[in-house]
Amino acid sequence: MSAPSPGLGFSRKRAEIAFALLLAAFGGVILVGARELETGWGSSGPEAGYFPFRLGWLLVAVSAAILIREAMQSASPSAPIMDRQGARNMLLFALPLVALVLLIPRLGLYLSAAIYLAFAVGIIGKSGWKTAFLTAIGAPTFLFLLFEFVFRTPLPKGPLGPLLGML
Amino acid sequence: MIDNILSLMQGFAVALTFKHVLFMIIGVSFGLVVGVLPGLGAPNGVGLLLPLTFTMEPVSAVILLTSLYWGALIGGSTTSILFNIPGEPSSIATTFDGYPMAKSGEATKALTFAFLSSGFGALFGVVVVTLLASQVARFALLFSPVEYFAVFVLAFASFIAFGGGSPLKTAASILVGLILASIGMDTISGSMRLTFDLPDLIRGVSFLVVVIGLFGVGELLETMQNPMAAKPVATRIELAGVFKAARQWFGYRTALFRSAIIGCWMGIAPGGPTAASFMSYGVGKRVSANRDGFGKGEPEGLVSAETADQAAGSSAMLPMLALGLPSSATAAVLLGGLMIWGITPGPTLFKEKPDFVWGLIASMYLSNLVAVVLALATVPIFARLMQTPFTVMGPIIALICVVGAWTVAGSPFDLWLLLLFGFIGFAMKALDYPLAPLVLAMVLGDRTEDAFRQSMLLSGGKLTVFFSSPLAGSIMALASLCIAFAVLGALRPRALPNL
Repeated sequence: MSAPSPGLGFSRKRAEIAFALLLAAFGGVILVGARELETGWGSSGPEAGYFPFRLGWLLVAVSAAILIREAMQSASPSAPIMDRQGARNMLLFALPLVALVLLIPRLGLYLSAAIYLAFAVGIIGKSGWKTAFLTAIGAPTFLFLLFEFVFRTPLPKGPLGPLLGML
Repeated sequence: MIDNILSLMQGFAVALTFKHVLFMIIGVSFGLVVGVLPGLGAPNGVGLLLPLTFTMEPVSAVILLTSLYWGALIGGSTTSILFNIPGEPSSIATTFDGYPMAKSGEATKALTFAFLSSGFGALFGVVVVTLLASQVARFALLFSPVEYFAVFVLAFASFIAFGGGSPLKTAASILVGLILASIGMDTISGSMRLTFDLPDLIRGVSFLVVVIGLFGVGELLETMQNPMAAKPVATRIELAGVFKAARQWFGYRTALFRSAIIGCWMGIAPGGPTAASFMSYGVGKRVSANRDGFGKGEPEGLVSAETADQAAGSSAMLPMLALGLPSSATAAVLLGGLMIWGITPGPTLFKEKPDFVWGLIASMYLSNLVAVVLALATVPIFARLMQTPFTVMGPIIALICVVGAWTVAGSPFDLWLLLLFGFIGFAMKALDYPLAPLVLAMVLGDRTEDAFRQSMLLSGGKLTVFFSSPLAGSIMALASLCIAFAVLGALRPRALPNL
């Protein structure tokens, strides 16, 4: 696992360079956004775009410095920051989470949470159907009682709304 | 000083009501859970609970959330010692000797030492806060926007110089935070900035969503790469062992006072708990008679790190209240809360809202005691909680993060931001970009910019204004020194000793 795996793109050096490029790009986007505003001086001191414009430039400069430093570093075999199995595990965790975020506006929080937990704990986590069932029913019920009655901050109920409203 | 003690007595009258003591217990318990579970550190925990306090009385809200902070700081040392996983960046130094101690069968001793040292550091910090509060507030009255801008620059510069990470990466982190803070409506001109015509960006990017994403989801993504890796050292805590360890602990008086002083210094001058614990550990390693054992399970190393960590955490409340200057990520989140509750930090706060300020200070005495007692009492429970497989715990914590981000504004857009910042936080951690400066910059961003623009109005656009008054000039000089130190350090990459 310690050998560099250039084909995967997970080597530390590649990741460092990619992230510094992302930062620079973000700085560039900010520069474009700030240019839509006045970036100079007005009657009331610096204009709205003054600060963001300079921050954007600074970020581009700092990420360029990081890039140069990374590029200059000898190409010693750097350990990969993530192995294949790690990346797979992370995606298996992240994708259901993305699905949860997609579901909430449609099904409300409680139903989405139950589906998410059943899937993430039971199928991805392979925890056995009993654990999965208990988690999927227990956690949303607990959240419902906590937010509805203790915090009095209702969470979106979705299609369950009329049903839960009777409680 | 007598005034301070009288004010403190009044503070106790506020803090010692049934409701507030209950809030301390709830806050500390929640903090312990948050500190113990990976993915739920102190900044994230305070962030999750903050939206629920919007309608509370400010003093009740701040007591609840600061108690959570103390609990999380202590809970974080539990995972450092038993798992070798620091619950917070500030407990990294705790792992150096805490984990070796636990591995060699001294888990009870290590935990007892950590909790008692935390308690001692915290109390020392609160005493310092009590004694200095009105003096610092009086000093802060001298500040105009020019000095405020200089202080913010100093805060950022000291993070770059002493934050422990690569100075360039820390700078990038600060810049991203400042940029994120500037998104949304401009406070002075009212024009929309950097919204790129997305209606969801008009209200800006909530720092709470960013905190929960970076610290919560980011850490989960990291942990889930290998969910089976976290295996605690087997522990059984027995009361007799606790008392025996407590008696031995008194033998480390010198280290305790030395570390508490370092911690307070780093907490008040913006350095923060992380820098404090590293510095205290480093000093201990140099001056202690037991220096050879540091890193191999030497109790004094653990005492040095823990005491300074908590002393810095509690003394950081002073610059936060008097100047609105947080020195840690959690303090930054709390500061964001103050502003939401309609409390403007600054020297006048001590005059206008004495009940709030002194109620908070008085509560810190009690809640830290509560934290030590509860931490010791609950170790067996948490040791069991940590046995829960992470394949079950992870999704539950993720759900808590999603709910937390939702309660900020009830907006689906925030959930996408949460995921985005989760991935950013994961990448930043993997590549050693520090997270705390980003949060700090995000909370301070608006005020930094306002201070700058007001200074420019006062001076008619002359940048030399920042060097014109002796106070602002010396703060700026100090900031320049920090930057110079960082640049020198960067030129000689291995100049700093590896702690």
